[in-house]
Amino acid sequence: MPLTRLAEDEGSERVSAVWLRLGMVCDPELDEPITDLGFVDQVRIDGNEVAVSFRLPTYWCAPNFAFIIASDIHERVAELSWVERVQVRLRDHCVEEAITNGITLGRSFEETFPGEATGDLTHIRAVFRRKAFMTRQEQLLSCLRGSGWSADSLVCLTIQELCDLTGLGPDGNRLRDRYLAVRLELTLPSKGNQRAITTAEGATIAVEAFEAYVRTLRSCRMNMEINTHFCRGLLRVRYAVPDPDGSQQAAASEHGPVARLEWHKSPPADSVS
Amino acid sequence: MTVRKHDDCAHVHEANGGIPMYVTPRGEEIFIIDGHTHFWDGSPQNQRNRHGAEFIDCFYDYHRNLSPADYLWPKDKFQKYSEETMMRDVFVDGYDDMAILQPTYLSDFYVKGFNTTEQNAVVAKKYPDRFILNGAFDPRDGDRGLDYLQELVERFKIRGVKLYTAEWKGDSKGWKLTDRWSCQYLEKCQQLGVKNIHVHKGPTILPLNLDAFDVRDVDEVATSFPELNFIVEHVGLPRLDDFCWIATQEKNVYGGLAVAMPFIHTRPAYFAHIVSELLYWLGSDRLLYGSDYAIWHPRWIIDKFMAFELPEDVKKETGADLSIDVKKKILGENAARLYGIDIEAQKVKLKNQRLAVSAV
Repeated sequence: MPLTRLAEDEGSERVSAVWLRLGMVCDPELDEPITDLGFVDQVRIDGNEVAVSFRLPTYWCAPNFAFIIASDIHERVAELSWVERVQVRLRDHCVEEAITNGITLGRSFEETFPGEATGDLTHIRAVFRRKAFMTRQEQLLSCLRGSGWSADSLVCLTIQELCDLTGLGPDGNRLRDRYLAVRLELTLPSKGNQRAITTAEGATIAVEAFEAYVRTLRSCRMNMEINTHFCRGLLRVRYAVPDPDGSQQAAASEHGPVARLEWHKSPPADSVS
Repeated sequence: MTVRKHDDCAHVHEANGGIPMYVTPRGEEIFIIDGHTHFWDGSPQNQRNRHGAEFIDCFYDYHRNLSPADYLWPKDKFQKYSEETMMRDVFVDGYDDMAILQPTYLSDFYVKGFNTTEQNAVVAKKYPDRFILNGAFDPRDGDRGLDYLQELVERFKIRGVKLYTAEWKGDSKGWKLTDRWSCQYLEKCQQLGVKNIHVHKGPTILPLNLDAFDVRDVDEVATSFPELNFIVEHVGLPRLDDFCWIATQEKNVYGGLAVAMPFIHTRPAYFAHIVSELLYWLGSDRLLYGSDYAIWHPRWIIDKFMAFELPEDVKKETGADLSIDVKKKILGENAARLYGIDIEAQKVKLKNQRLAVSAV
């Protein structure tokens, strides 16, 4: 499905800027950008106002995850210097109105669902960032082990050495970058001489415990992958999204196979609205 | 009777038009008990509101997402199918010998309910040797619900219930197994001999700020009610690792494989991971096959499951082996033990029956 992009340079720049911001928003459960997952349905830019509409694989997707996505969309897009107002809309969902209104009115999760929440989303965010850490670490370790790295060398690998690794290829580089990024997020030790492979709590791993440790990582990663596969498939059938093949994947991530991006230049200041 | 063959696994139709049992190429009969089937009415006429429409649409998306192309149904058939269709799909074309009817009430979404115990009882009564009729309870019904549970046992002799903890009721979006009223109901189940508690977790259980798929509440009730068996449907997916951790410790926790088995079709590597983890942590005695009919069909699922082999590296790493003996347990022996079915006696009963179902 083609994008609607205007030839106007400034408009194209703004559209790209918003799209990049949306790419920073991950589904908390799947740890993948919502732009890649096909969740973004429409982006409309009207002068300095941005309206984003998104949808999820099912009508029944957990309200907490849906709220996190909506909230993060709002936060990320609002960070753009020229943006004065962000409207986020969740559609085709069992609590779409509550979440859309909650975000619009700047309400917290508890305020959005009074009597149905016993706390904020800090805990669940942390639970899933930890799972994301384990998944990203496992993916990196798989890559390195596949290239012949031994358990001994992996437990001793320092952060500087990891940063300096060459020959990983674009996929390997991406895995390394994603792992380092989640380490930063979790404020884990990041000095060059510190160990690169630690638990999510920052503890180092003894070489004799490495295999058992990798097993738990693998379990976490497989769960996430299975869930992602399932959710992507549901979204595809729900919205009749064509299967992206490998060659189109990069383009799909950049522009989104189904998002409609629109930019409208605001009328001159002295015109009657 | 014509038979559609979807792979090379042998199956036998009795010459007199009786109902086939699954038979392996080596001539071994496998008695199959489907742990999870429905006889629903999700038609527009029965939908009370948008949620009712969306609920069946979501099931339909599950169906389309993971079914082989030649098993896809048009939407109107999927919303409401006939008894004849079900009997043919499950017992004639499908390899099930018996099936557990698991109710899902959803009275807030459907005028007559999605599929209640009473509705299921009609077909179960017609074919008492084929169906195991399960009941349900909702602890939010308080005292009245406890009476209803008693009634279900007296009237239908139920030995199991299905609990849908994410069912919406008025202002409530769900409940937890560990809620005080829920525990009262579980106590009542223990008293009444309703031993098998099939738990289905959903995304809107309270409190909404916590992970709805967290299976820790199963851990607690399994410990508190050691006489009951807790069958966690779809093996806790998408929290398989958490489920395995609990189930390895609580010997009265079982895994229902509905939703997991269709992965054999779309991503066999994922199914290999799921089943090998389950075998490693739970062993082979606590897993139950389920088709979740009519979301998926007990023909292709069994065909593919029987043909499925764990990759050597997975076997080596986990020590798991999906041998024929393990498959037999998953497909029927484990459920038979939970529901007190004597397989040999049941085979004799069923062999002499005919199902008056017209050919496709």
